Amino acid sequence: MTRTTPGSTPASSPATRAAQARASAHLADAQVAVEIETPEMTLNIGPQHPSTHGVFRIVADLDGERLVNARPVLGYMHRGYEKLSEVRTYQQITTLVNRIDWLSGYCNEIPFILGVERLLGLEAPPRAQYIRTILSELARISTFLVFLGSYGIELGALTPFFHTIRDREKVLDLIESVTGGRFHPNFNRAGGVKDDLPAGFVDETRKTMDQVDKICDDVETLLFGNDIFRERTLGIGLIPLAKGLEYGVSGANIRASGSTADVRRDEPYLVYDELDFDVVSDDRGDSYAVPGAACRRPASRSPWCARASTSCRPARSWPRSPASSRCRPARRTSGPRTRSASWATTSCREGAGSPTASRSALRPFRT
Amino acid sequence: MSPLGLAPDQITRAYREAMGDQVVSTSTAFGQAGVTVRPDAWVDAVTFARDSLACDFFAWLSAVDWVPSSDQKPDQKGDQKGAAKPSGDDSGDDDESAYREPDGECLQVVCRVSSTSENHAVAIKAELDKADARIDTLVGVYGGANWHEREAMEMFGLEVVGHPEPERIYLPDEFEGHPLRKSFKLASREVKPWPGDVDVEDMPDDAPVIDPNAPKPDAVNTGGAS
Repeated sequence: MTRTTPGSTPASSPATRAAQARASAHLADAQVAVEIETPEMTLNIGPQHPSTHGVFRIVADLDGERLVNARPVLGYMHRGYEKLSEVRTYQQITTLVNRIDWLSGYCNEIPFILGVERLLGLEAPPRAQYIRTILSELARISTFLVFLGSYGIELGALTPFFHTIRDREKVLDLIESVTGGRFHPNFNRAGGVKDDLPAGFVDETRKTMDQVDKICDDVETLLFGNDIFRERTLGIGLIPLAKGLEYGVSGANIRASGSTADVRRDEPYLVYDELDFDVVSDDRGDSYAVPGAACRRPASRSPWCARASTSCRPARSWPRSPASSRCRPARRTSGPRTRSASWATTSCREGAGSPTASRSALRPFRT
Repeated sequence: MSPLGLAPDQITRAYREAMGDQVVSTSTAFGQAGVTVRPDAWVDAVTFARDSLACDFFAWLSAVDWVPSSDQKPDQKGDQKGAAKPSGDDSGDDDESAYREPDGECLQVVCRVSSTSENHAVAIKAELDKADARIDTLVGVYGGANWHEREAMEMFGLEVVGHPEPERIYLPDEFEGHPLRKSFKLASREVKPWPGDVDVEDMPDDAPVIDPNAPKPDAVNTGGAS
C-alpha cells in the first residue's frame, strides 16, 4: 500500500477528504494490479498426473519459466504394504511388493524374495537365478522405455513416446510369455521361480532386443540432438554428487551426477557377478545427463542364454561428455550391451530397501 | 563385497574401538555389519560412519516395533542368551555372526548408510523404550534423513528431537494412532475377513509356534484380542 498524503492538507473539507480517499483507493487498486504481475506464481502440479500410477503432487513456485521452489506432497497412493505384510505369508507378499513400482513390477520382487531366502537359509538353483536376472533386465528395459518416451512428452515431444511404448509392449510380451503377467508377474517363490522359460524365448528376446536397440537409436536422434530438448535439459535440475548421495539418490539418477555406484556390481545379487557389464556415468548432474546415464546402461550377458537379457549392439552414439567416458570402468569394446533403466532394482536395494525381519517360518515380522 | 571395502567385522571392530561402551552390541549376521548403540550416542555413531568410515550414501532409516517372541525353541533361547553378552565384549566373530533379536520389547530405530567409494555399509541401530521413544535427529548429519524421520515419527510414534519440520508426510492430519506399531490393528480386516486366508495350509504339528503377539489373520478377522 502506498500512502497518499492526506495529512499534508491540514484543513480539508469532507468532500475533499472523500475525493482523496477515492483517489487513494484507486491508486491502491492500480498498485495491486501492477504487483500481481511481479510475484512468483504458485502452480499446483498434480496429484492426478496422467502418465503415472504413483500419484504425486508438487506445489511449485514459478518465476516466469524458472522453478524457484517446489514442495512435494506425497502419499496419495501409499498402499501400506508393510502393514499388510504382517498378516500374510511370504508367498502372498510377492504380489504386494511388485506393486511398489508398477512399471517394473518384476524388479520389486527380487529384493524381497532374496531377503526371504536369506532368512530361510535357502538359495535358488542357478537356472532360477538366471531366469530372475533375465526378467529383471527385461523389466528394467521396459521401464526405461517408458521413461525415455515420457521424458520427451514432458517437454512437448510426442513422437518418441509412440515408438518407445510400442516396443515396450513387445518387452512386456516377453515377460508375459514367461510369467503370465505384464506388470505384476508374481513369479518368484522362495527358493526359485514358478516356471521355466517357454520354448522360443531366447530367439524372441534377441529379436526384440535388436528392435529396442534400434528404437533407442531413433529416439536418440529425435530427442538428444534437438535444440529445444537441449535447451530445456542442459544445466537444468542439477544434483551435486555429494548432496545426491546424502539424500539417498540412487541408480541412474546418481550416476548422472558422476557416481559410479551400481548395486549390481558393488553388491552383486542373482548372477550379476558372473556378468560383464559397464557402469556408465556422467558427471554433468543435470536433466540432460539422466537419460544418458540410464540409457547407456551396461550389458549383462548370461552364459547359457547369451544376450537374451540384453540388446546386442554397442551403444554407439549416446551423447557423452569426455568426463563420462573417463568414468567408465572396464569398458568393453565388443560384445553385448544393453540400454536399460535401472532405478527399480537399484533403488529398491539401495534406496527404499526391502529389509525384512522375521522370526516365524511362515510370516514376516516386519517388511 | 568389494575388496576395497571394510569387512563387516572390521567395521564392528572400528566401532568398538572408537565408541567403547556406547556400543551395546554388534552383529555380522548375514554378512551385514550391524552396530547397536545407546540412544544417546545415536548421532555420534552415525557421524562416525560418515566421517571415519567414508559412508557418503544415506540409504534409509526406519524402525521395528519388537514385541516379545515365544516361537523360539528352548535350545535357541539358550543360544540367544549366550549371544547376548555384555557390551564391550569383543570375544570374536562367533557371537557376532549369529542373528540376534533385541532382548524384550523395544522400538528399534535402524539406519543404513554405505560408502560408494569404499563399497561397504553399516546398519546402525538403537533400541528405545516404547513408552518414551525419543531420539535425536540425524538431519544435521545426513540431510536425507529428514523424510525418513518424518515417516518414522508418524508410523511408529517415534519422537525425533530437533527435527526441523516435524510434520506428517503420508497420513492425513486427522489420522489417529501409529499404523506400524504392532498394537495397531488392521482396520479393514476387522470389517471383512481376508479371503486369502483360505490359501494358508495348516502348519505341521512339530512346526514352531507362530508368534502369538503378532497380528494374525484369524485373530484380526474376528476382531479378537490376542
